[in-house]
Amino acid sequence: MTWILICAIFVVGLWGITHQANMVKKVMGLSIANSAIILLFVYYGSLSGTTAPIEGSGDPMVDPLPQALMLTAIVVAVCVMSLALVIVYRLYQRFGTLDIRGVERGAWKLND
Amino acid sequence: MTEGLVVWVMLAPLLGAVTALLGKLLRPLQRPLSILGTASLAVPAVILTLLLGPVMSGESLRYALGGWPEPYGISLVLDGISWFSCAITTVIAAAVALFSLGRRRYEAGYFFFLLIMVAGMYGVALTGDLFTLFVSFEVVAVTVYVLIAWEETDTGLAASYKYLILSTVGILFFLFGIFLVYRDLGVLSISLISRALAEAGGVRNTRFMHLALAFLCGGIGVRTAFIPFHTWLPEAHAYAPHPISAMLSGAMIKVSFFALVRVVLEFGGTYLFELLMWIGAVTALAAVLSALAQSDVKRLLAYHSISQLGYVLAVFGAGSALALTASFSHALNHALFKSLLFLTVGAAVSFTGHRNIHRIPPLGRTMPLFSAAFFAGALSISGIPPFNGFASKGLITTGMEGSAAYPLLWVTSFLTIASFIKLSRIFLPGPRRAGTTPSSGNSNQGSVPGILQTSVVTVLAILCLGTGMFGGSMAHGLYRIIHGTAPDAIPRLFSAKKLLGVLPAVLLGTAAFVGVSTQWGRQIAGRIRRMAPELRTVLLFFFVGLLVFAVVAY
Amino acid sequence: MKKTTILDLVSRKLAPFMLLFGLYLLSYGHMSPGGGFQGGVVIASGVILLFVAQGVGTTASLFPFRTLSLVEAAAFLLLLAAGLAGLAAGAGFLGNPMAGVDVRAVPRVSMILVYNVLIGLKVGAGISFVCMYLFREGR
Repeated sequence: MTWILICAIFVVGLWGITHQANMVKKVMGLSIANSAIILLFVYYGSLSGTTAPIEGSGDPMVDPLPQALMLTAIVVAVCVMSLALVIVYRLYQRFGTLDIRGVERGAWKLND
Repeated sequence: MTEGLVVWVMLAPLLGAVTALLGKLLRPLQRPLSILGTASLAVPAVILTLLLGPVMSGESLRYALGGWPEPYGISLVLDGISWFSCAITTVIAAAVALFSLGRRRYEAGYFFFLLIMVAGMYGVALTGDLFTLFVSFEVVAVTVYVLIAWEETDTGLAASYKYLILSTVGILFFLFGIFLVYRDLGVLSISLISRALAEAGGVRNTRFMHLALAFLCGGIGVRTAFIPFHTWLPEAHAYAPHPISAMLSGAMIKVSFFALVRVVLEFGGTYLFELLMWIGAVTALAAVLSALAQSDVKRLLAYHSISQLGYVLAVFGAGSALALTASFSHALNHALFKSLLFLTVGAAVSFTGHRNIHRIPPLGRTMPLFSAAFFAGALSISGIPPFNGFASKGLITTGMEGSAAYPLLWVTSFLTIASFIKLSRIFLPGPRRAGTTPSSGNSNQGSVPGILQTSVVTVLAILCLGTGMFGGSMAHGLYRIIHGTAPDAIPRLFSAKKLLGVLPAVLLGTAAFVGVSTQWGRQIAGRIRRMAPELRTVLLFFFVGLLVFAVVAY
Repeated sequence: MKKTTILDLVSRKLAPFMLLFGLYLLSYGHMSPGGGFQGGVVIASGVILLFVAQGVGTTASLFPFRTLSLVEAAAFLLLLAAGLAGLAAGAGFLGNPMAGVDVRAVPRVSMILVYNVLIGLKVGAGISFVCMYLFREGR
């Protein structure tokens, strides 16, 4: 069940990226899809134990490696998202629109 | 002792980046600190030279960060492929950084990002596990997004956004591939994966690994920019600042390509070779057709990057040991001549303020050294002896002997010649008056290249000539670096048959150029030009490509 | 947009605690949930709360742009220096230079604490900087 939900989140993210014309919503879609992947790792890691991976507790701990990896992935995602938002902000200042079609029409001077 | 040196390859540009960052904060020291940051690239150069001996004898040097051993720690691996990858990065990065130093408008912040990007590329080359590969890819990508938009032109920002969306989607699938690997094998270190897969009896015998391999290839494919993942490249390379275009085309897509080679080889994905070969050949042909249709000089060059990468990929797909050498040697040569072309053409663009081929006046008399260097690059990419393109294309011919995809590459070679005949009009010696006064009305016009820029371009041109003249011994050395042993026989490069083989290509190329110049040809060209895809189509392309990989892998 | 008293008051009272909690996460990250990045983000969220409620101008007088970028650069430099210290002590890059020394005073702390604090400062300064830049009105 959880796998299906994670899959659904991922698909929602991808749908946002492809089908929304608004540039901020595209960035949101990226963020959602990224969260799905992160959930995937953390959920898989949590299947192997019950307690947090802190030294000293007796119970079987969850697999700490996916958590460590995903922490890094979150950091990377934060960097990319903040940069994406800065770029969107700049594009909005230039073109006065958040619609990607308008921006692309304005930007590529293919027949100059 | 020698293992300890490996980490300095990555550390030096990081330290250089910090120096440049300090230069950004301490305004008066901006210039000297940028120079100091750039100088840090000398450290990797020296180290790589020192380590050439061990690498050539087939050793692979491992360095565990923080002293943590393999399954948990991060380790750096320097073997033949990563040595070569680092070497290309160093040469191109040094050329680009020096060229940028010659233009006063690039401040310390620019060098900060450039050096971080270089450090990331060393990371991609040196990493020993998949997750660090992901992180390094993202480090490179984040800096590239910033650098593409550095001059804050409308097109630069839009190109950066497009690249950001596409490559982040790509890297998500890459992460998913990593997940599959971790789920089934429980390790992420590339060498351990390779061992585990060998024990399991190859990729085909596992349940999900071939799927994982397909996703990994798709993710790297976006960075490497072969069809159908190539769609970001024309804009990103064309509208980036000129030195950055050189860096992207020269080094970045090569480094990603080497990562692809490593992943495919270590996973034992030989069944993908056929697919990669056809993709490469189709990429080469389709991209050169688009290139021929372009009127924007930098877009034309960008499409040629895709096309030449198609060559590299196709011959890698041929699979033999010699084919791998041919592929790497063409990657090196392409890095040299394409960065040379981007730098010279970029200088012409910023000198005149025009990007359209037909608006740039002939600059042969205004910038004689740049013109000479440009022609060296153009002759290289067209495969005219004795320049280096001829050498590696000769190797490719041998490597792909008897393959059904080779005719596509042959057609590509004369179309390349045609499009460079078209491009070279901007550097022809024009009438004496024209071109001496840059057109007014453009804010960034008229920057005559300085002595530093001229010398960088000259050195690159000499390298193009040198690697061509000594193509045979270069290929020999390359074979030893990659495989660790001496080759049985490297085919003779300058045989009479091959020299004569250039002639029909040149003739057909001229004919194709004449064909494009006619009214009819121009109409078709205009139609191809207008086919530039929107972001949504681009993403669909990506998914289709991923599907193809997944199906073939299955 | 009209600003309510509640927002004004709560943000001013809450922000110091958020900064404190961020620092707590930094300094105990090596032995309990937390760590450099998490702590840094919490610090940054305190700063963000302040300037969402009070306006960027007021907050920038408390956390000037120049200071933030200096902190970020200095943390980066120190982080590399800490890594090099490991290299100099023979434990390899990012290794623990105190591995061979018997430290009784601060058990189990080692270099992780140093890295966490530096990373936290860098992340906190960086994220606040980006957000303040985006929220800057006008330009």
